[in-house]
Amino acid sequence: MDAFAEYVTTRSVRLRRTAFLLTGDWASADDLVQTALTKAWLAWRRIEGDPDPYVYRILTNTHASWWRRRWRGEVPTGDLPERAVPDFATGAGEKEALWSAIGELSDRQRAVIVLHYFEGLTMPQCAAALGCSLGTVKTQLARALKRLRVHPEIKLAGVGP
Amino acid sequence: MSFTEDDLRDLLAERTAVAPRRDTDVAQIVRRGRRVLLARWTVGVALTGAAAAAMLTFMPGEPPATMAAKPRPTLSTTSSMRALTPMDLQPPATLDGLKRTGGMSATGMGWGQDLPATPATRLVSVYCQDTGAWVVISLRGTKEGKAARCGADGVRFEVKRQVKKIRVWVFPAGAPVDDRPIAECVVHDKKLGTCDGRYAATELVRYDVAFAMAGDTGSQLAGNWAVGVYSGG
Repeated sequence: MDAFAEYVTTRSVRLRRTAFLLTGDWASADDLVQTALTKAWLAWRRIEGDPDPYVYRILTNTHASWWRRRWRGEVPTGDLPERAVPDFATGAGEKEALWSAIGELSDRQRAVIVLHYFEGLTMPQCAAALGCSLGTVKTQLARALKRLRVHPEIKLAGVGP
Repeated sequence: MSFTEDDLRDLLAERTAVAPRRDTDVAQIVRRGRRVLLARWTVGVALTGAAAAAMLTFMPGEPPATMAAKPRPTLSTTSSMRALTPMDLQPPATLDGLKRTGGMSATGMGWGQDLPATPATRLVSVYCQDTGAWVVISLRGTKEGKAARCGADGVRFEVKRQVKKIRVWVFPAGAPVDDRPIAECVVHDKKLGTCDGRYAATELVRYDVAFAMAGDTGSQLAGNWAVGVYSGG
């Protein structure tokens, strides 16, 4: 098995999950991973060292280009849709609200959230993966957290930064 | 309603914990990649061909008087990297007692060109503006050929068997080529034709290997070169 095949075999499950968090559905996630890995295959010989940063970059860039091209047209209707009432009693409603809010973030904010909180990348690593400055990552992260109503200053007891 | 960073981490992990089972097919990815390479190469050839159409000159066996009057470029002219035109790089009408029976000149590198050969074809000689450029000459339908850096006198290849076509590729000097003997490679990938991650010079006579390198280097690279096909008898 060559290095590329080995990489795909070992990392595809994780990449699918990351892609799902970026796209919001599994079918698009599969398409995104396939496309990103195809691009990675084309550049494989030029990738030196750990391929992950390159693949993350391809993944987020490809998703961003899809996001920009995606049709966001509304369907005209005379009736307002019913709004879901969150079920605060069980906590499931709060999670649903948070998940829904993640879906409404911009592609860049969402990518920062996913790379930092799901993939565990540091902010400089996020900046490298997204091809932007550290300052931009910090700004995007702060804006995203504000929109999600996540307060970094609130920590659970015994949980590190 | 507000959340902590841990709520966020938990949610992201929770939402991806149960994923529909689907294996990523490596073979499918590679097939898709090859299709992209082919498309890129085809588009590159088409664009380069269109752009170079005005400059591309297929040379007859007997050069017209205006072409014959031009002196052949010397070492100093080819290596000085001045803006040479394909006509400056015209191969000589005779070489080693052989008569030029065909040839061409081009302004772009990174793509292959087929030249017709006859049973009388004995020699192929390639001249480049960039004297470090990589030249790959192969006899189509065989495993014979040569890959070498373009020197001051170009690159020559003796044709010792009868073929109908001779394929010539010219790549920039910085192309990822390793010219060590295969035996010296630590990792030799026979299928990809690579030696320690770079394309093995000896494998570049294979169409698939030269094609893959063209995909890597790009096929719209500026650089003048010319080739002459010489026949005896």
